[in-house]
Amino acid sequence: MNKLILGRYLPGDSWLHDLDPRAKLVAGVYFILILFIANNWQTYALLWLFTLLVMKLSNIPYRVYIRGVRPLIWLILFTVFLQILFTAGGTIYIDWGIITISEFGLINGVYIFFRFVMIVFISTVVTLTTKPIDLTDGINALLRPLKKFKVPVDEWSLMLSISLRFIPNLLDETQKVMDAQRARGSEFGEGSLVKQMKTLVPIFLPLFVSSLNRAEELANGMEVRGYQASGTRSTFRQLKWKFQDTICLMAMIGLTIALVILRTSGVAFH
Amino acid sequence: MKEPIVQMDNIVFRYDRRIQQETISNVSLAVEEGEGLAIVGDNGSGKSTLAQMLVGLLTPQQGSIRILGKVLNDNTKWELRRQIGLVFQNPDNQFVGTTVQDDIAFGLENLNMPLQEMRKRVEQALEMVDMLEYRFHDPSRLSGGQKQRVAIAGILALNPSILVLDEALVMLDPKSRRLLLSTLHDLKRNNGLTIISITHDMDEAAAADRMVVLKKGRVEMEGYPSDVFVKKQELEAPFAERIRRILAQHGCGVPNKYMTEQEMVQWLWK
Ligand SMILES: Nc1ncnc2c1ncn2[C@@H]1O[C@H](COP(=O)(O)OP(=O)(O)OP(=O)(O)O)[C@@H](O)[C@H]1O
Ligand SMILES: [Mg+2]
Repeated sequence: MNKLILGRYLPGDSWLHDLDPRAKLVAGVYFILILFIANNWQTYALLWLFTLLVMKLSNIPYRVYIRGVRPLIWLILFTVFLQILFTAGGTIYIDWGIITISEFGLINGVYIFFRFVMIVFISTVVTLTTKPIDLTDGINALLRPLKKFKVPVDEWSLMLSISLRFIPNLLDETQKVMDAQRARGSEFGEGSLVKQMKTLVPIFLPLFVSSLNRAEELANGMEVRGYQASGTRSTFRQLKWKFQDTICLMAMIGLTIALVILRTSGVAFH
Repeated sequence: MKEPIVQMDNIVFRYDRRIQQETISNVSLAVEEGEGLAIVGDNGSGKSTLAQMLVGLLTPQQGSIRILGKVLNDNTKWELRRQIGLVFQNPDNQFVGTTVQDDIAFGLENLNMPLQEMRKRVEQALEMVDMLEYRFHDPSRLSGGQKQRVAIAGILALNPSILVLDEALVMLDPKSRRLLLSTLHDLKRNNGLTIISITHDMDEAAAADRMVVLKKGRVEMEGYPSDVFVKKQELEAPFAERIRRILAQHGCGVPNKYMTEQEMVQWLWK
């Protein structure tokens, strides 16, 4: 469980931790979109510089981010590989019929690889520096316009925040059940696949039952405190847009302008 | 004469209608406004069941419940829940918020309360249970007693007229319990709060205005704590009463009536 970095939050007090979740979400999504403006080594270099700077600003060591990419590395390499094989143009190094490795293919592969890694890095920055509950609030605030179209945004975000609140309990409980089964002589991760599956049943069954009980108790507690799904609710947690959030968005605009200037106009690769 | 604030008439309840054994059979109870009623009884005697019926989580199969003059049913329960709050036996799965203060605010949000008012109420409630310094903590990572205090604050913030406590103080250390009991007593005296307290703590029961002994879903005895403890010798008596009985056994000529701790001390000093 400790290995998974993507989607985790690391408490801290960096400039980025302090940013409004709305600013971070908007900037993060926007960054992924403007990645597609880049089409030469200058623009990619600029994006890399920007990404590394943002990572630096989070006050979280680079190795944490690298660990975040690791579980995705095979997916990334596979995509890059396809890209190399099926892009033609420029000098051809290897030619086996439909499979060719060309200059453009290689360059494109490298770009795709960079793009992927930067997307993972930037999303990791957002989740590592934002409390899940703030992220939920941010998403809620950004999706608010959808309420006009009868999308139950508030209900979704309450659901999301409650699920987040129960994840630690669920993990604790999984550990407890596993320990209890171990004490009864179960061994996990050993034997044939079928055998391993069988040892999982006595874990998931109690977890499932206890989750149901949990849900019922939670529902009772919420009801007693006056929760009605259809009711209008006020919000206690408030998001505050600060000057630094505006700076963050300005930086994104600046980056866009620089990218457009550095971009090779006309025909490039792809 | 004023109508009782809570009036239960001939309540009958079974969890499983196929089974003859009634969980609650023919219970009638009246609670006056501003009264402190203690409900005691063995495990499984139906105390929690009764509490859940009081807030409309369970519906009696026969009989009626009137709260503040209104019959409790599916139409009135939401309105009445603004007046009657229940603190559950097990606080663990009741928490909705990821911080203590968010959790307290949950019930207030449901009332669509303005932010300023919510802030004030959250602070007051946390002060009442002496948990203000934990306002930013994760409720699921608190100790048992602290969790119970937060759960109580969550209900107190709603400012109910009637407070039902289902063994809500069992995990509190003696000092916090004394503190909280005196806070509740103040609320009772100053704001006319009605308290229905389900408890196994006989000292707490002895301090109530009236007590009810539940046995197998029936009211076995009802009256002033002093009378009940003298009549019902098998009940684990409060400290002073235990001393009185021991002294009586040894022929020390103690008065043959129930004494509070203070009276006992005075008698001993004579
Ligand atoms: N959800 C349920 N479904 C079926 N039976 C239940 C349920 N909850 C309680 N019971 C049964 O109803 C009876 C009364 O339970 P209740 O929880 O009201 O007792 P209690 O007086 O609160 O006991 P304790 O002192 O242990 O808290 C018990 O025999 C119990 O087994
Ligand atoms: Mg109970």
